[in-house]
Amino acid sequence: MAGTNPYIEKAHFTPAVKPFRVTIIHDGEEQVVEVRPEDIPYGRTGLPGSILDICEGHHIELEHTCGGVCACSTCHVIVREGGDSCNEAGDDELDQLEEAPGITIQSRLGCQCVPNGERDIIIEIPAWNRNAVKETPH
Amino acid sequence: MPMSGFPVTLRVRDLRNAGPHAYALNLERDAAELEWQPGQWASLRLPVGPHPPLVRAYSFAQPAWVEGPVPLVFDDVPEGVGTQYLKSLLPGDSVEVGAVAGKFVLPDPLPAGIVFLARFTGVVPVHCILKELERLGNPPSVTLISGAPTSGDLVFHEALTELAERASWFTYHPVSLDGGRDELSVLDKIPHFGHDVVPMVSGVRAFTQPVRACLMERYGYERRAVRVENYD
Repeated sequence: MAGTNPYIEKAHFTPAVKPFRVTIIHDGEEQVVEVRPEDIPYGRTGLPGSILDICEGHHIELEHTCGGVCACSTCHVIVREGGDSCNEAGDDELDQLEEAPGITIQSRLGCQCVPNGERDIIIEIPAWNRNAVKETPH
Repeated sequence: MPMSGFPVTLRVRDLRNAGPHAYALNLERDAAELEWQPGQWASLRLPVGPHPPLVRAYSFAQPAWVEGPVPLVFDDVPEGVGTQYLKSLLPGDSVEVGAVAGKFVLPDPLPAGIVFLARFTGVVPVHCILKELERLGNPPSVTLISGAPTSGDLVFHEALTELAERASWFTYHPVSLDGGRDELSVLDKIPHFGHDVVPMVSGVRAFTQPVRACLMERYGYERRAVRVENYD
């Protein structure tokens, strides 16, 4: 499909160009990972350089039932510090976040939240969100 | 912290072509109970990729009440690690389902009409929903506009053509997009409809985004009134 269609909404994110640190709080424990721009993307899950991509690359479990395509809310994270260095949430992401339990003003989807590396960030993986999709009646 | 019921492991019954660039993976369901709403997807946990499991979602092609295997349909992504793994599966191999989810399901209550716009394998959940509508009886008026890169890539084309021939409530517009035809040309097939008709759009984001935007602009829909299932 040609990329000139005026209706196509471009993904707005800037992958990091300098190293930064991500502190991940999970089940009360903190883990700090170093992100090097040359390692991005770590895989093919979530936006390149997203929190989910970073977690995958450092073997940190972050649920992502839909495979990181912004089709569920299981990768819900709370950006405690450094949110201003991340891309803005788009409409699709906000739609999905509404389904997440325990949403806060700092909530993001890990698969869509891309830090630009201008500063270190701190994120929390909410314990209540683990496997939340499996509690949804089918 | 797995919830009761998930993950479940299913065995491969067979793998079939669903077109020149799509496959149907049929899984035996006798090993575990698996329920889903028409339009939902299965989250598979595949033992491949740089950081296994590789989690990928695939839509169910049939409602849960249809007897037989659990059918998942996927397109052949040449560099897709998940796709290439699924293509290598043999009868008897195991596949882990981590969850069943998805909100691309029938509106409740049913509206006066539904217009589905799907691209390529985006038609898979629509096919599943149509089966459900046929079972319900007295379904609303439904139009499906299904676009694919080539006419050969129109997944479920034969079944959908047959449904349109026997069901007065269903209209089917296949659209071949070869020759560089703009994918928004699917919108040319939309019949005149009022706001008691729910549009449901399915496919890759490069299709769903412009189609949704166009529906909002041309027909005055609110963004969330246009239901969307993104595949990427």
